[in-house]
Amino acid sequence: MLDITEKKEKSVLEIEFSGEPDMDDLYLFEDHLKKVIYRHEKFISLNFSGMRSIPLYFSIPLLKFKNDVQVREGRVFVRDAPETFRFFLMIANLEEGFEFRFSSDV
Amino acid sequence: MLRKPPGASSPVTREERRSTNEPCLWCRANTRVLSRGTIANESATGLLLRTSSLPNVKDTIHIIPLIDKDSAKLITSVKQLKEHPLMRTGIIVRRESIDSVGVQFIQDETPRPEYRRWYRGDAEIMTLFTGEYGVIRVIGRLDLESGALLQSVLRNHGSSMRELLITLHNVESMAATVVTLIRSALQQMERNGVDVTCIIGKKTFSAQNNVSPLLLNHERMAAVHAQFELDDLSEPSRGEPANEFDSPPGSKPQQNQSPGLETLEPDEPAEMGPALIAAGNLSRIHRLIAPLQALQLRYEALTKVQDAGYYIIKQRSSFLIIDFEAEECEDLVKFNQSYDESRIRRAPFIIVIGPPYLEPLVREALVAPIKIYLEKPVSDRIIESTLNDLYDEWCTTYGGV
Repeated sequence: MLDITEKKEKSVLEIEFSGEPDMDDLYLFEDHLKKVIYRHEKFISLNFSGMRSIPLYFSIPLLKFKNDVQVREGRVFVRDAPETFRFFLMIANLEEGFEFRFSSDV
Repeated sequence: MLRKPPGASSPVTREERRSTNEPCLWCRANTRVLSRGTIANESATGLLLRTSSLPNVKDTIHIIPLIDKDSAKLITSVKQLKEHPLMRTGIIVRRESIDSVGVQFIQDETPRPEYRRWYRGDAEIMTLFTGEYGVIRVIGRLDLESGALLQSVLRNHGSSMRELLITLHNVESMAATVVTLIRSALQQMERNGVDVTCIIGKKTFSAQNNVSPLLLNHERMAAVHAQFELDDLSEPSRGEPANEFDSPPGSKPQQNQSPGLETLEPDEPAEMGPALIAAGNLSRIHRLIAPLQALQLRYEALTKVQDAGYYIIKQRSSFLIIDFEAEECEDLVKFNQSYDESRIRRAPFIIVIGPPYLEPLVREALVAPIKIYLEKPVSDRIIESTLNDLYDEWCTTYGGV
């Protein structure tokens, strides 16, 4: 089950994902990201601190989302994603454009 | 050159290697000192390490490539290096020159992420497997030999995986036989319960227009380059909802949803017209109605496939779903006539559901461009996900509903 909550601080829209999603949550995840695109936010932080792992099938919606944000000259921050996810994207050569941030960073 | 099968760990065989000149961090197994160096060349079984503080032959070392600028900053201790997902353990097998040593990878004692690079001809296959998850990146030209290697990698890891992400968007060319090999391996994995996600590129896919998709579950395959061309999305004024976010996630714009086989929306057609189902009998039509209802799409249906062209122009259909059997091919030919006569200016998105072996023939024979051909037997879920994808594509292409 995937839970999505939002908050906006200053100019950054933070979308927090939590829970343990399965395949049925793919549409929910994709739909939510699509709707965010229509809101023309410039800085968007995707917070994954509440997820133990990010399904690899989330990478396509994420990729589309990142590209859509980039088309509008926005920026996508990926906050507190499970460590291996970044390496998965890196190995897959899909990392470009995602800005990874960790709460442990000062 | 001797080659070992993927996954084998014989120390005597050697894999093809390539010059990489990649900066790296490494440490001896029994020290706490991190050293810098360069991976001069690399294969799936070993690498050549160039460094100023040479380890001795038979020393065990841990090594990671610094494939991005952040890695060097983030890794400040031996512990961090040893826990890094891209860390590999190797043993020094020879001194190559005054500043370089040959390293043979060895299996770690405890299960940990497995990062490898394979080379064949003009192709490079990079893999990272961590428990139930796997990522494979393929670069270059895939010929039969490299395709067989990829198939072999897939087969060797297929039984232990739950999810796989494979990226083919940097593949410059792929032999037709290789497409078949890869498709067969990926689809077998899907049948075995592995969630496969595939990223393809326009270049990769353009040469394969005549082959059916690589995955059974089409929703998890994306042409990544196409996504960079979302010019429509950069023009928000074109029919976008003012505040679409207010609607619950997953919902489509509200439409008349009453079931039936006739025209269900008597009002002036909206920008997005209804979907038109054309199938030879009522049971097939009823089966197609369910996914349309799930998507809250308006629909019409008719059993005379040959008349579909007239209905498209009359109802301004945005989607046409044709379900046919081999003996109904004649109706498809007649459909061409109604399509031609209707002088349709904006073709609907067409999905054809039919026998697998007839796909090339139908694509050739139909004057209307087929967006997607679904091979029978096909599940409701695939039909629904296909329609959902096309719905999104329609919105992207024509600027919302």
